Amino acid sequence: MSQWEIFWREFAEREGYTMVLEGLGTTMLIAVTGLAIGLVVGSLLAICKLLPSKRLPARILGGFSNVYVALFRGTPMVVQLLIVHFVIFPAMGLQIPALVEGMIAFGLNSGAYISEIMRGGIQSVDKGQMEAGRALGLGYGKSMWKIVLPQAVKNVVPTLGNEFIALVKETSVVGFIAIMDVTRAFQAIANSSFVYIVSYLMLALVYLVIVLIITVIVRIIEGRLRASDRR
Amino acid sequence: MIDVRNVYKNFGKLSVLKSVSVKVEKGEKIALIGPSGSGKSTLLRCMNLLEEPTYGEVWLDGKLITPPDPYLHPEIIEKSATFRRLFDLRKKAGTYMSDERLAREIVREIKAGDLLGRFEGGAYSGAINRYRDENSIGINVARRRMGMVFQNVNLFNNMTVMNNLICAPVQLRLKDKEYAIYTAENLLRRIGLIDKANEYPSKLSGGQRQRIAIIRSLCMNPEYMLFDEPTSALDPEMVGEVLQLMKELADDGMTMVIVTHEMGFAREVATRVLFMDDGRITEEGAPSEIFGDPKNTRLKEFLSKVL
Repeated sequence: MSQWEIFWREFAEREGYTMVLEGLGTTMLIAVTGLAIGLVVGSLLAICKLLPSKRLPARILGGFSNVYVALFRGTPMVVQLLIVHFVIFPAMGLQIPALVEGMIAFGLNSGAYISEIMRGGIQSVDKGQMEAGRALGLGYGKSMWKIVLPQAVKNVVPTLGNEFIALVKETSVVGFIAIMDVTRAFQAIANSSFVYIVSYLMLALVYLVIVLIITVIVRIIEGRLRASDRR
Repeated sequence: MIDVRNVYKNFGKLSVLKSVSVKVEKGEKIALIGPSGSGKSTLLRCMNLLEEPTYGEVWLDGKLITPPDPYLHPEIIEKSATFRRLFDLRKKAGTYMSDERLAREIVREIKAGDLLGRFEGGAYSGAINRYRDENSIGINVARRRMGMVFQNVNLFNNMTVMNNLICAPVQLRLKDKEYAIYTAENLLRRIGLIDKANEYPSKLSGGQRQRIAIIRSLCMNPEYMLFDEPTSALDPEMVGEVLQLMKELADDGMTMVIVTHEMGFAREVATRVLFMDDGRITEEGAPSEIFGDPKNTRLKEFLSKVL
């Protein structure tokens, strides 16, 4: 029997595919919630960094944001994952599913990167937009939320797509805290069938296909958004 | 009344406004003219605090909207540590002046030398805070009453025309959504752009955009309208429609402050013209005086160039 046939037997007949499908779901779930949390955290951090006020609270928030980004960008994702799993939640005496820990860890991590992306996005929106909002009597927060942020997000959709792709691939390390993602699923198939080459090549192919699909989706979203401001 | 009292504005070392005071009464249409860089736009932007004056105060209908400026209030200066130190020094040195007169003298010195420091003691901070609490209104509330139209329009690019118009009134809960849409539609009909309600600003011409920006301000039912060179960025053939709308507003009795280079418009619509030069208002008067019989040499020079 060829390597391929052994792999196929393991994958199809011994129900390896259920594991892979589940793993795929887990991977995407972590990536998507990670991106969602990251967007919220990142936007807040970016706003903190760009607060116009020179008062002490604003400066503290700005400083916090800088420290946050430095910490999360300065340490490897795996280390953060391990710290969340083995240090932070145990120290708080909380027992929560590893999957949720994974989502939180990836969300906080991508928040750091997205904050820099959003900062650029917010700064790329014409200052007049904020001024017009303020001149109508809207507060800073409302002007930011209703006027500036939507335009900022639109400007950074391509870059966010990039971040999402990186995030999807990065989730392959969640196996470190015993989450069964797609990488782990293929690892299991490889280990029980002993066909490493095919298994890992297939794994690579799966990631490649996911990334290509995301690329297409991002491009479609970009096109849709651009339609509203064709000049 | 918008009351600008002794406003200075510095950008770093550059001093853009130097001791400017203006009172805008209800119903007036004031044209601010002057060479570029003379501080017209900055003065206008100080009125609704898009620029915060370095010194001086802005009052709206008897309410303070800037932080209090201690230099305008001798009674606050007298609470400061600097004042007490100087006062004691002079007392010790011996003086022929009465306490009252000495106090006035020292206040004058402190004003002249900009001697107040960043922290002047609890009594001083207390006096400032008390004054602010008694006289101020929040800036966001004040801005609702002052519409502003910008040179580069600044319609919200992420919203349709209709959402541009109803955004602020609905967000601030001044109108419910149906009523906001109803008034917005009326205004759109008035300017003949009702068919553009669901377009995005990028699909409109410059003149259409600016007229919509004007009625966006009107949707807040403002008592004052501030115009910051509303036609300067427009193609020449679109200037007319915008000026026409502004003229209609003026005829309706709106109080307006207009920074403009359109001298014909200023002459026709304004009730008072202020000429600014190098951060100061150097001549003011009725349009007939300013354009017909200018006294200031800089004004003459300016008019000879633009007319």
